[in-house]
Amino acid sequence: MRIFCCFFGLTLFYSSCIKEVHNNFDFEEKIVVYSYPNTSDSIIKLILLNNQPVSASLENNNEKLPYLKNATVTISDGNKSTLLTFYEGNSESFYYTDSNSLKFEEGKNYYLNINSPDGRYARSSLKIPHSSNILSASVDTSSVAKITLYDNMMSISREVTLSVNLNAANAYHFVYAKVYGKTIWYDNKDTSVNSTVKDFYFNPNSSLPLQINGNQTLSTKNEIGVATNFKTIDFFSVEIDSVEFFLITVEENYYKFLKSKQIQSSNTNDPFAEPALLFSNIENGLGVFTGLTTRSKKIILKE
Amino acid sequence: MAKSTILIFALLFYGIKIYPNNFVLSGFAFDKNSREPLIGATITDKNSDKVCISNSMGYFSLQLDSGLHEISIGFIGYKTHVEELGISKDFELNVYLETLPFQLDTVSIDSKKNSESKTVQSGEINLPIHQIQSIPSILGENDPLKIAQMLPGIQSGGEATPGFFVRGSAADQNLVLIDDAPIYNPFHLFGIFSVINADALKTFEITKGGYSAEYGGRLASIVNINLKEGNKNKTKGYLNLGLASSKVLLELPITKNKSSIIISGRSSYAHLFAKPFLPKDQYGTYYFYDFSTKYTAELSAKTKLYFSGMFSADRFNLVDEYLPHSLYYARVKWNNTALSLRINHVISKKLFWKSAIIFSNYNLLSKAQQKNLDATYYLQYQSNIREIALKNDFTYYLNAYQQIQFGVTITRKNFVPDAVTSKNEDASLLNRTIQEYNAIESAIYFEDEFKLGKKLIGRIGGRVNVYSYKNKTTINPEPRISLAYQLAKSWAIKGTYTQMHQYLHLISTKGVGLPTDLWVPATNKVPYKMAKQYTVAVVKDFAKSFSISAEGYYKEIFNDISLKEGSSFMQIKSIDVVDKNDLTWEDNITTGTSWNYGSEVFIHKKKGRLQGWISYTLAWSISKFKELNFGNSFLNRQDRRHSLSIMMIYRINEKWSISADWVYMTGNHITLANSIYNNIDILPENSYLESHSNFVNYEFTGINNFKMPPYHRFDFGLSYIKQRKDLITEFDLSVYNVYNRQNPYFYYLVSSPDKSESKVINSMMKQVSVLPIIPSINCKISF
Repeated sequence: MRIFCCFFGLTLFYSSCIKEVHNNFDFEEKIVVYSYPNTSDSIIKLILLNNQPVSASLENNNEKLPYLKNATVTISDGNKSTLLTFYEGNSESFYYTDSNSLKFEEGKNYYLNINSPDGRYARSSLKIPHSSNILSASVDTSSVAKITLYDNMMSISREVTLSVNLNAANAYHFVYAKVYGKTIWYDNKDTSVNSTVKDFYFNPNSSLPLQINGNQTLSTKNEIGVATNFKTIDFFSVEIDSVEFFLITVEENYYKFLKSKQIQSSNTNDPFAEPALLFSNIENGLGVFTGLTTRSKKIILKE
Repeated sequence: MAKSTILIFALLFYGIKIYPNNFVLSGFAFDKNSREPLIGATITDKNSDKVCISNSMGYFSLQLDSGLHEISIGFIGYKTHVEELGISKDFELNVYLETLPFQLDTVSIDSKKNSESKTVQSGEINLPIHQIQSIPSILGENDPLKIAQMLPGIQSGGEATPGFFVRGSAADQNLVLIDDAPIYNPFHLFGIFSVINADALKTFEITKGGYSAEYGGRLASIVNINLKEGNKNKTKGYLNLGLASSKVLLELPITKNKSSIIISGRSSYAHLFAKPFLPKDQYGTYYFYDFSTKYTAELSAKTKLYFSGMFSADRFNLVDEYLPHSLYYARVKWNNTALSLRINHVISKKLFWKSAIIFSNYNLLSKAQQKNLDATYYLQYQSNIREIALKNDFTYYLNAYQQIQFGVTITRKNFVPDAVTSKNEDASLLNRTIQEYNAIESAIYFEDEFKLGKKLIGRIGGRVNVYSYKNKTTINPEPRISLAYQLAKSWAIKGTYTQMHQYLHLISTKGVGLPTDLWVPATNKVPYKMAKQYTVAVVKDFAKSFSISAEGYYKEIFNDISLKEGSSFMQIKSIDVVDKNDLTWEDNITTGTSWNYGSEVFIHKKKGRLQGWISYTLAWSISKFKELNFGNSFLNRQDRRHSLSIMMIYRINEKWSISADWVYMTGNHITLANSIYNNIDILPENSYLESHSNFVNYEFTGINNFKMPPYHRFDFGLSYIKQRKDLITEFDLSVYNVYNRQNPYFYYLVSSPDKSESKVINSMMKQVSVLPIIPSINCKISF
């Protein structure tokens, strides 16, 4: 009986061992594309990488990224096709073309073709969205108040408002502002004042679908002609020299990409989370190829 | 709906006018030795070929013309009783059938219930208990729910996965009833055993389609289990000693031939054996026990009282230090309680009444903790579902060709679901107040089972459900139609159409690998499910007591639910969360549509020296959710294209028998990353989006993109019975998974630092298999 128990126990617990499987079962090498052509850019950049098996190590160092070099990359607007040039730098490598070779215009479609030296290919297309107008922008200096941020730090708050006319159908928007001013840090012993340029992101009034690092940044799809106010509070500047507002109109594809990335990345390390798929508009590849337009408005303040 | 109502009434009047029978032959069919009522015995008038089947109390009612009749009463495994009766008035006949000591081909057994071509029911499998007890067991346990997974259209979730999947539907869509009381988790850990003790069973039936209107509340199957009543003549029992568990059963007559009680209990002790053999970095305990009882009292010749109880409990702890920097800890416990108090009464020779008060309770507490490089993650699942129901069912034997069933049921359900995960422990979150949900489900039903002429038999009826949650009440009718047309030479063609609604859901986290059943009600945010099912079947009975059936089905499920992509019960995503209690399980749910279709072939031999079956299923299970897989359709986890099982039992002689089975299933589907790639944001320039560049992107080609390797195994069993006076000793040797196939249980991704322990992460995919070759020996002593 004892022998049998030993036999039984050994069989049960050793032959059912955890088996390591390298998940390369259906790994397919794909071209990863990142490109965000903007009507206001003078140079259009496109980064090509290779994906890796799940069991591989990914470097965060730009120099060591698995760049895809020497590929044939063309972008066309249906009439004119431009071959992108490969640039290999010390810190990063990318393909580029200048806006003289190919002009990105609102409402137009553009087609991307990539052929790698080893015979792989990827395709995509984008449509540059129509921009929306900034109706007004303001900084409410009357709301300035000294507040306590942490136990030993003080700052000033003021309300910054951007009012825009979202007139692009089927488009999504980013809004953000660069604040040029001085930052002061108070603590019990010292006070330091520095000239800074800081980025701020706005909270539209409604609850938003997307958060990045706790900042609500992206609007939902809006109706044409509806004015929307975006508000934020500047906590850090004691003096503001100027504020530059940016309204970026993006394609739905970019919204989907960012939204899915946010869902995936927020739970990457959570072993109890459901898997999340990452959106891509690259045929036979990964990543995103999407167009944007930017409008900006600068306000000079004399505080 | 109006048309079907007219049709029902037309059939009713048809029955009344055409068959004006004069006298009623009624009574009970019992086992001669134990006085157990025989459910499904066939009562046949050989002169007129009129037939009826005894009900769950063994009661039958057959209307006959005056004159001389040759009445035959048969039941599988029993000698057929034939009696000549001169009928000139209503007649009561109680029959006591003798069991066959050893079933041979030469013994004639007449049972319509076991003739597929003679019943209207399609998609129902009635497994003889003696077959269940003869099939090779795992660790000496013959498990009816595990055996059911070898039947067509019924699949296991995979290696060591509790629950079963009927025709591509999720596990929560099966209603498992033990003496009318539902069991919410009928399995012990890893699904190795169910909570049902095969030796305490009287009948075991699974219906996959063409459901009777008596049953509702689930979309996929009804598993109807009746416990034995216990011997009313003398004390019987057994002691069964196994390697992993032991069980005991006792049947006690309380008042001879009037009342009895049966008690059975089982407890495991495998963890005591296993402890010395566990790897050093892995330690844990697991044990379970279950207990069932049934008290039966004959209050009068026409009234019987039953009290049934079932209780099961599981406890599991595991600590796995699988890597120097990682630790996995899990603690799970769950309990099932099912109680029913039932009364059956023969109101008149034509009218039979069943009434029941039912209580069911299921509790789960599942805690896990995984220490990774970045943090320690905590998971806590609690699920409690409590149900109290009142049920009244009536059967009216209109004539020899028509039987009407109707009834009403009302159920109050209380749910306490809670799931929370946290990054690093937050005691306030894990110990917060949990919300309760209450819902009331009621239903009335009506059903007419009839025979039109000599060829067509049918069952037409409907059920009307009323569901109340908070201040909202919904009413949903469910038509049920089953028709069978008997062709020549024991061939029959059958068709069914059914609608079902389900007002509760089971949320299961796919990636955890732990029991994380979260039973929740349909709410104002999460709607109820609805399914429509169509089936067509061709069946043929052969003289050598086996039957062949081929059945096709198509099922559409509306408002099927799933967890959203990326959803987690992680409630602390940042310190900015305003009110942690604002997030509920409802926020993680999304709904869509599923389509299940396929065909099944079943060859079943129920009698003779050689018994068994061959079962093959070709099936598809597809879903489409707006918020999953970018709105594209995908194969469900339980989508298994091919399933084949062969099960054989051969009785060599009265002492020896051998059995073997082989099971093959296409692998099921899970979601795994295909590749990883760096993330680069290049716009807006100098903006916050650059902060995302450090994330790794995971490429999933789709939901359930990875098909696991096929599941297959071969089991073998040898049984020896020795009888000395009243003492029967039975030895069983069984080998589960003879060729030690490592079927995958689940896969998971683990992260480990590279050699320099920098931020660079290596990922490894691990496959877990838990049921290797398992030989077992069992000794059962019965008296």
